[in-house]
Amino acid sequence: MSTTLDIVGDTGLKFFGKISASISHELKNSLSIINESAGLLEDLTLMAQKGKPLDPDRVEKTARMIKQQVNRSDDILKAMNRFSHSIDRPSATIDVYELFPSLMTLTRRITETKGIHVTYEVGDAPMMLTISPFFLKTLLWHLLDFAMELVGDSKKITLVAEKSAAAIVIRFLNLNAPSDVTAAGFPGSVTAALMNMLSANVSFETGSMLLTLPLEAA
Amino acid sequence: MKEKILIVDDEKDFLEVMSERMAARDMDVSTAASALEAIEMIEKESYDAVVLDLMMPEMDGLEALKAIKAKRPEIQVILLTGHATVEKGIEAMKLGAIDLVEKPADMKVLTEKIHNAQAQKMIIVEKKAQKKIQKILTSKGW
Repeated sequence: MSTTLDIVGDTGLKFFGKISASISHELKNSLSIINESAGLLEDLTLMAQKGKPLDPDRVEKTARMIKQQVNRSDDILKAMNRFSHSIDRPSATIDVYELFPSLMTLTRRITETKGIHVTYEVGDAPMMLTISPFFLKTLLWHLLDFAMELVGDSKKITLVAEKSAAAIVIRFLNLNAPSDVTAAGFPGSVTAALMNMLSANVSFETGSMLLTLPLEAA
Repeated sequence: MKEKILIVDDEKDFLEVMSERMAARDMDVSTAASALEAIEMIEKESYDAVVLDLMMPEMDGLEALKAIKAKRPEIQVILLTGHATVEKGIEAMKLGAIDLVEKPADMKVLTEKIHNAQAQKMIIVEKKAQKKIQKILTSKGW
């Protein structure tokens, strides 16, 4: 393997590990809430058996909480499944707008641990792109990780996408872009190798970082 | 005597249900949704035990544990974690935690650990009081 492929392969594996760890933490948290909610229902039942009137609102609220957590876990597992299969094919046609929520779900625990809230905006029509979905997600994660170092006081990063005749541009908004990105350690060998692999380019504007993915080369 | 405990976790639903269940077990329960909030509360109030999530935004459980122990060494800290490893357990114990419990936690086990934590705190407080009395007795020459 060439050095570039070595870097990309190693990075992909590390990214897979990081995401798996993040997801398992999220699932454990969700399971904990389900576990305690089930325990609370047992407590309420025991108290009712001892003569304390059962509060239907409390039972209903607890059931609602369990359903919410089941939905949360289901979203996480769906994103995990898509992520796992994204490595199956070197290239696939994907909707960039579907990529955003999936990436958010996969990385939520990591971003929130840093106290940063990541959101996204999507358009009405799908924004299709033919690319390696796994390595695009890997590159997006590396850029998001760098963006977290540049985040403004709002502690919020928003992802938006625009399509032109030649490219798709993904913007990371609400950043304090450094005056000298090279001094800030950007892009680094890993990000550079991923950008090279996807024929992508990264540039900076006031308050935002732009990832340009050419439609043809990508 | 009621155990006075503080539960710290960034999952608000978890805090709500857990605190209700512990209160039903005759504990005096307070909650904090972040480590920083917990540290502020500890500065104002004393607790028998703190049940602390290991992975939280801004300040993680181990950092919070250090800060709590620096402010109130007598408070007993039980760490809650999604993935308990021997390595994490040793690190937590070295920093002064009395236990590490894996999520989802068994309420019976956790309650038992909280009872033990309260007993442990009582011993520390009593020893501290004895030392203080001894010091007074020695210094006054009675």
